[in-house]
Parts: sequence; C-alpha cells; structure tokens
Amino acid sequence: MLREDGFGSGSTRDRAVDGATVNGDAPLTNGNPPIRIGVYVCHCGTNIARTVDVEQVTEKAGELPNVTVARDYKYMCSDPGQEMIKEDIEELGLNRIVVASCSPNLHEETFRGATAAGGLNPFFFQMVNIREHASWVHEDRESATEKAIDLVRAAVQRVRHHRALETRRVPIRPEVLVVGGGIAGITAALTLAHAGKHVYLVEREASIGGHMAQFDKTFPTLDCAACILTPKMTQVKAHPNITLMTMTDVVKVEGFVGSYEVTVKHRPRYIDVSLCVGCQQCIDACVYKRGKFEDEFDVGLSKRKPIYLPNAQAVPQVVLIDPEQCIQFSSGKCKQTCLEACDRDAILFDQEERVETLEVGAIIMATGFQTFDARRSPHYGYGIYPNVYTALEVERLVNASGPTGGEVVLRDGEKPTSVGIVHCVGSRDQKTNPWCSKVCCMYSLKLAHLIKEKTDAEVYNFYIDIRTPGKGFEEFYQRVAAEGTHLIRGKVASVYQQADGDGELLVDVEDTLAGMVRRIPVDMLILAVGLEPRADAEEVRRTFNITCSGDGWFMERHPKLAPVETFTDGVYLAGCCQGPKDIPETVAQAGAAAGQALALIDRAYIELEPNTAHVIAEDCSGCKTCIPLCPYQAILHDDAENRAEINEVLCKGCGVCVAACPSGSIVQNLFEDMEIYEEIEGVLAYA
Amino acid sequence: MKKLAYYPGCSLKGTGRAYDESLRAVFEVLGEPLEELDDWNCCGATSYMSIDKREAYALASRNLALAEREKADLLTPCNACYLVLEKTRRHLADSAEMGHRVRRALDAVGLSYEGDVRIRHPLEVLTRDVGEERIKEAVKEPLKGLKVAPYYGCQIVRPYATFDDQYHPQTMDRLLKATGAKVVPYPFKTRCCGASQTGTLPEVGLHLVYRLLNEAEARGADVLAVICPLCQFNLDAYQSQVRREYDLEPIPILYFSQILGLALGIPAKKLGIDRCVVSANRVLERRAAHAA
Amino acid sequence: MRPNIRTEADRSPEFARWITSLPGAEKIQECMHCGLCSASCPLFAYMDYSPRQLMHLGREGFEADVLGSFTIWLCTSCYQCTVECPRQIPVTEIMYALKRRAIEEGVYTEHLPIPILAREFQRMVAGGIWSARDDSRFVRRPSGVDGI
Repeated sequence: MLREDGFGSGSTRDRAVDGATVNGDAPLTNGNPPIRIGVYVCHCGTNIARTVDVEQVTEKAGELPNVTVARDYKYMCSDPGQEMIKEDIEELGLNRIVVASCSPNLHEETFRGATAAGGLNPFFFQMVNIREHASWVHEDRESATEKAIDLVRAAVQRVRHHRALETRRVPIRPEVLVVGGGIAGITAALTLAHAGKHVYLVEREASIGGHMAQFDKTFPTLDCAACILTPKMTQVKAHPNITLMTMTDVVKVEGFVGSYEVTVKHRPRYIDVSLCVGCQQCIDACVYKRGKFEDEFDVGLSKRKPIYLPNAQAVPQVVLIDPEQCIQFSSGKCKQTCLEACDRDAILFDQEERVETLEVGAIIMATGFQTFDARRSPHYGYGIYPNVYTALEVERLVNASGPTGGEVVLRDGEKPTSVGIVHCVGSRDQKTNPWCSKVCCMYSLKLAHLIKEKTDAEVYNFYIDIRTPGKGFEEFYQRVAAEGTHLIRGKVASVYQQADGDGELLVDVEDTLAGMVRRIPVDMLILAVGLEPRADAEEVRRTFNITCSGDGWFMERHPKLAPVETFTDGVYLAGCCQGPKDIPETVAQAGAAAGQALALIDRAYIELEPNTAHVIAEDCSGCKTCIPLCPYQAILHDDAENRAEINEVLCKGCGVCVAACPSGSIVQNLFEDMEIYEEIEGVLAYA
Repeated sequence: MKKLAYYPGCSLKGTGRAYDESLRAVFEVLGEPLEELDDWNCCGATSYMSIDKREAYALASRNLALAEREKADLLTPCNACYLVLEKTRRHLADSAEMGHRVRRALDAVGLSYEGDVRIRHPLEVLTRDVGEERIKEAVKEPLKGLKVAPYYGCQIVRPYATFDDQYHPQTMDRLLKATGAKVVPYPFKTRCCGASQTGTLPEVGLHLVYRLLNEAEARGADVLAVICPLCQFNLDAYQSQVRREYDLEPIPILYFSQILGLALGIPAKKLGIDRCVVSANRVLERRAAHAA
Repeated sequence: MRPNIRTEADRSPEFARWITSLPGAEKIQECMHCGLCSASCPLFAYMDYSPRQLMHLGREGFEADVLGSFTIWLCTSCYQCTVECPRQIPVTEIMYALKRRAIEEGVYTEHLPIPILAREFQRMVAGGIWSARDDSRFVRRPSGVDGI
C-alpha cells in the first residue's frame, strides 16, 4: 500500500530539504523536482462556509509560494473531492497536498489515502483544521477567515519540508480482555469466544451477572431476567475460550493496541475455587446460626452470614468469606465449624492476594453503572422513613428468588394498599445529575404493572415526561395506563410521615395537568433512581487511558460513527459505562464492541503512525538524559557504541526525548525542526 | 475565634426582646459575653427587597462595613437578618456592578467594605466554637423528660445552607439534647410559619401556624423551640386565635436560648420567659420538679 | 371574569425579555414543568396561578396576568421553591422582582394590603420617620443610601 515516489527518501542526514537552503520564497529544489503544492479548502456543507469565507481562503492560498493550485469544494471528503486531489496530482504534477477541512481525527486517513491514490507518498500531505479550530469556535466571519488563512499558510510552509515516510506494521495479539461481567461483558466475551478468540473476563464482584441478575422481569416483554441471563452466565463458565476471573481488579495497563500488558490483582475469597462445588454445607455449619450482615445482592433487604454464596444463580457457584465479618479473621479464635463441614478442604484462611499479568491485543470496557444514591435527594426521606424504597430494592421484592419470595410486602410484612413511584430521582436535576437516565420510565411502568398484579394496590406514577422510545415500549405504556395506574404529571415535592399513621406517608405533588397540588397518602413510596457513572470511573479511565465526557461516562470516539470505540486504539466500550442504556441496547453495543475487537484482531497486524523518534547515531554523546524521561520505556542505551537507541515499535511519538536531548541528536518524523519552524513562521506571517 | 459583633436586629429590640435577653444571659454564663455592634441599622428584611433592590443592599451592607471596621464577624440571631446579611455579603462578592454601587454609597459616609466579614448564627457558634461538651459541663439543671420539637424556620437553611443541613438541620437538636431534654421528631423543622401573612392575610397565615402547632402536638412535644423572632411571634401571639378555629392544646413557644438558659440555671425572669403569651409554666414546673 | 383566552396582542415581548434577563432567570426558558415549586410552596393553596404557571406566563410575556396575580404577594420568601427547582430557577428572587415591578407600575391587587405594607415599611426605614426616638436606630436612614 505504500509507495516510494522516487524523491524525498533517504537517510535522515540526506534530507530533501536542508534548512540552510530554504530562504523565504526560494524554490526548494536541492536537486529534487520543484515543490508543487495543491491546496483544497472544504466548505463542509455550511459547517465551515457559514463562518469562514472559503473563496477568500482559497484565493489567498493560491498566492502562496510553491502553490500550484488552490481549490474549494463543498465536501472534500466525498468521492469527487478525493478524486479531484488524485487527478490534480496526476495532471498538474503536484507533489505536496494540503487540505483545509475538519479535524485530522476524522479525515486524515481519508486524505492521506487520496494522496497515495494520486501516486504520492501519503505523508506528503498536511491537514488544516478550519472547522473545530475556526468556524465552529468563532462568530466573527472576518476574523475566522483570517485565522483560516493563517493556518493554511502554516501548513503550506510546513508541507514543503515533508519527507516520504513508511508506516510500520506490528502484530496484534489475538486475546481480548473484557472488563466487567454484567450482561455487556458476558455478551462481548461470548461473542469473541464463539469466534475462536481467547477472552479474559475480569469481574470485580464474586459472581458475574451484574445488575441484570438482580432484576425480576424485563420490560416491555416481561420475560424473566434470570431465565435469559443464567444460561449465558453458565456458558461463560463452561466456555473453553473464556478465562473467568472474579474478585479481580485491573491495576495497571501498559503497552498499546495489539499488545497490551494488563496487570490484574486477584483478591482472596478464602476459598479454593477449583475445589468448592457450592454445596453450601460450610454456610450451614457457620457459628452464626442466622444471617447477620446485609446481603449486597438483596440491597440490604435480607441478611447473610460471613461465609456465603453471592446469590442463588451465582457463577461461579462458589462461596466466599468476608474477612471483615468472619470471627476467625477478627479474633483468630473461631471454632472453624465451616472448615470441618467442608469435605473438599476448599476453605483457605491463609489465601493471599495474587497478581498476574495478561497479554492481550484489545480491551473491552463493560464496567457498568451505579444507581443514584437516594439520600442525595433528602426531601424524599430515603433512609429515614422505612416505607421509602429505591426501585432496585423493589426489583428484589418482586423477584421470586428475592428476600420475600416475590411477595410485595412492606418491612412489617403487610401488603401495601397504595404505592407511589417517583420518576426522575437523581435524573434531570441540576443539583444531582442533569441527564435523563433513559430506563427509569420503562422500569417504573413495569414496577407499576407488577405491583398491581401482585397486590391490587392503587399505584401512582409521578412523572415529568414519560419517555418510551423503543420497540414495544409505547404499547407497554398504553397497557399500564389501561390497567388503571394513576399517571400524575408532576414531581413529588415532599414526603411526610404522619405521627400516628402506621408509617403511612403523605406526598405533595403538583398535578400539573390539572393545575392543582394533590396530597396523596401512600404506604409505599418507590424512588425511581437514575443511573450514574460508577464512583471510581475516573480512576478506571486513567488506568485504561481513555476519556470521560463532562458528566463522567466513558467517552466514545464519535457519538454517531464510532460509538463503541474510544480515543485509545484497541479499547472499546460496551453497555452503561458509556451512558444509560436498557438491556437490548447494551447487548447490541456489546456485540458491536466484540465485532470491532474481532475486526482488529483478524487483521493480524496494525500499521503504526510513523511519527516516531530516532537517534542520529553519530551526534549522540551517550549522556542518557533521554532514557528515564521516556514514558514508554522505548529508549535503551547501547553500551558498546555508547549511544541511545529508540525502539520504534514502543515509541508513541510524544517528543519528550527530542526536546530533552542536549545535543539535538534525536529527530522525530513529521515533527522535524524545519517543519515546526516553518509552521510557526507561517502562522505568524500575518499578511 | 474571630471577634463577634452582636447584631440583634430590630425584632430583638421589640417583639423578640426575650431572644435578646436570653442570648445575652446564655453567652454570659458560657464566658463569651456579647458585644453589640455599635450604630447598627435595620437589615431591610424582605419588605425592603420588594421595593428597591439597590437600596436594600446598601442598607444591609452598612452593617457589614461597621463590623469590618471592628475586625469582627457578625453574630446574627434573627433568620431574616441572617439571610439578608448573608445574601448581601454574597451578592457584593459576586456582582461587580452592585459591589461598585454599594461601595460608592458607603464611601459617601466614610465607610468601606472589603468583603472580610462572615455572618454567623448563635447555633453555629454554640455548636462549633463553644462546643456541646462545654455546654454539657455548664448545665446545672438538666431538663430531663422535657419533650421539645425543634423548629428552625425557613431562611436559616434556605436558600443557603451555610452551617447546617438544608433538609434535616441538626444544630439546635444537638444543643437541646445537651440540656438533657428529649428532642421529638419534627418533620416541619424548616416549613414556613406564614411570616407576615398572619397580619396581612390572617386566614392564610393562621392555617400555616396551625399546621406547625398541630404537628408539635401530634409528636407529643411539651414545647416548641424556635430560633427566629418572627416564627416565635406567629406561633405564640397568634396561638389563641388559631385555637379559636382549630382544636388544639396550648403549647409554649420558647427560643432555644431560653431553654438552654434554663438548663444552665439562669433565672426565668432573666431569660424573658414571662414575656411569652402562651404560658411556659409547664416547662418551668418540669425544671422545678427535677430540682426538687 | 376575564375570558380564558389570550391573543398574541396580550403578550408583551418586552416583559418576557425583562423577566428572563433578571439574574439567573434565563433558566425559566429551561423549565420542564415538573411542578416542584408549586407543590413545595406553603402558600400554594391560596394562589390564583401556581409559581410554575407564573414563570411560564412570564416567559411568554403575559404581563397583565403576571403582575395582576396575587401569587406574587403571597410569597413569603421561604425559598423552598428555589432550593427544590431541578433547573435552578431562582423563583423567590423572581418573585421579589415581580413585586418591585408591580409597585413601580402601580399594579396593586385590590384586596391585598401586602404591597402597601411593603411600601410603608420601606418609607419608614428609608425616611427615618422614627429617627428622633432614642431606641430606634434600626429604622434610621443610613446616610449615603440615597447616593446610589
């Protein structure tokens, strides 16, 4: 795919352009053909043309030295736009190309391709961003146009010094790391495993399954979450291509696309996973006769012992011990009845944390979400009034395998007769989270339906807007409305527990459609808590070197065209870590992420941007200044020759060594001194 | 602790005199006697703000300037004064235009304000600076068995929650507990007392007062503790009128400082308890019974 | 009774611009009508327009409806609406501004003494009518106030 074009190549010392010979407008010959530059200014529809006078930019560009042709066009990235470049190269003998359009992130590849299609080395090309850097960020047309002209001039001056470069290929490891074992991680892992790739599925909790495992029915079809999820979970466990690691955290990620080194830490569960069969005799034998500690899976609605199975459908079906609660750990003086009960000797009080390094070619982030902490909206009295619940708690109540066996009852065991569901708790609120959490309307309607079915209670849904855009969603809304659920448009303002009302709550809400405030007694108030980024999302994003958007969700590379990619090559996103999603969307995105990872791996190699640095051996004094500065450990010292050597496969082109080298003997491709000086001069040469 | 300039505000010189008396007595006993800000003026309250915003800010800022001259923070017991002064302080810091106008006005009378005054409330000073431990030690006559409903009113926690929780304020609860009294749950801690509507639209204001009194009764409170002179006035002085319309037992309305003062062994007379419209005898009897 | 229909002639774009240009009040444009302001208002029961409706009428420029509403005179500035609003609309401060404008324009609702009370209070403080009395420094007009 790369072509040598017959000039500009050669060793670094034998440069096509020697700084000394370039003077102002003097043609850059030095034995090579004269520089002939083509400049192409894009309208980007009206994105650029609305604010930047593209005709003027084109006209000015045409007057610059060495510019053979300058044209403007509606969409440079279109086929005719690219064809124009190609034809000009062939017909006008161009040997440098400048395109002034959008961000290189979007179309650098496109125009390098067009340059190559015309028969040039693709690195005889320079891109100018007059959209994000000019038209989109300025209002004044005249100034924006002047800025665009300056930027184009800088590129024209710089591109004269470009050299032909070759990209390097590095192999891609076929293994994939999937971080998070909810429905997103499970789907991605199974897709890859079915395609024959090896997957490391890392889960922080003791079982995979994530939030979906806690749900009872799924909207809008009301099929049972466990029935559709559990088979997938067992498939994960059984699949020969999946290495499942629970109670495991990723602590360090090194390397780059195709060749990541991931350090994981296995926290001790004090059980030998290979021996335990989940018979639970140890739990029966525990010195605690009854559960004493809040069960996390039941969101605190039931109690468990210090040795426990995460939940009935847990995968792996293996118990674990909480050392904070187990008497053996706190006092060292437990009778250890569990140890006696285990005939497989699977209990290991002295199990220690273990660190392991995995080598993978790609990473899929499926770390999920957390629900909004209802205590942050204190006017609803969650944590104060016992009859105020979060939706996740009620999911457990309606669940047949939940703490009440699927009975919707209050904490005192009574069936509620009047239930209120407050939508948008911790959503659409500048004081907490401004976004719409997307799933709450539907799950609130689902809970309304299930509660009506199980209790005959009056159910009130207090909503701001009902949002049901999804297949079968609106029909479900219609069905729940027809069942007689009260749909009251207004957000509950206050909750008040009467002094002598048996825990009955009075809620005040404006029925905005009627224009009156209503005071409604309920004996159960459910807060439809929103979805938010996990508390440690920021830390995780640093570990994986990806970005978060302002609201804290992991950021996709492009909101429309690259929704599962990140700005870090080889790291993909699946599920709610990227933003609120329902189950079908999560599954679809996980499939897409797996597909992207497969596309990467099956290419077997990747081409690296040739913007790496190299040492000019005869100038290097062997001072080693650069070695500790390199963030990628890409520089070694050749003791025999006493000089530095840069491993161009590891080099990411950050330029730190180039700037630090006291003898100026390190050069970076695409960022050579003359290229930078000329660019600066160009941008400052206010015409 | 930075020096405090006591800013009683108009109400404490009039209907809220008992608040002034009891605060002075309590701080005296705790070894932190109050020093009144010299030459202070009206904060403007909500009414002035309804007429002219600039003048209202200028009026309030004069007190900030006076305190700054004395290198003191303002100690402000009245909810309305507290909010007006705090709002003014913030507004002068945030709005360059208003800051400029107000400074010009202050300059005309030889005053200046650089922004170095905090607005503090006795609840904050007593819980944070003095501390409950010191108060507990100073309690001579614990109010064991006295059931108190703590009522904070609106403007002390809204719109700014400066030293206490906006929805579930705790500082007065803690002080009352330090006296040995039992604090009953009172969900209407920060609900509106009706403010001046008791006078302007009696049927509206009285209903709001009724809800507060009724709730205290439902929670089994012997006394309602308040921190705002307007709340005290509404709940106390209008109580007989409310009781003509609604079925309610009389309930005394005391400033938290009066209750605290009783526990510290200060004579009722010195705490202005006889100024209550609704007799506070049941509280005094409780103390007497305990002492005996 | 005023007929329950309004034409575009009833709207004052100037009033809409004025109300949304009050500090923080541009957020009225973002109101999603959740009704938290109304339902949290202790005086709601006695209002003709709910605070939510009033904000909306203001944004649409129905000046006569807004300034003629006695809702603004019922506001006790307890700030419940302000702290509840998910869009952070400074409802209480807007109520203050509406009171000021109503007084400036002489729009008094007939049966309510509140604007008169406010006016008199302000005159009393600003005019220092009791300033001769010893114990009344709180109502003395601080010199310099009229300098602004």
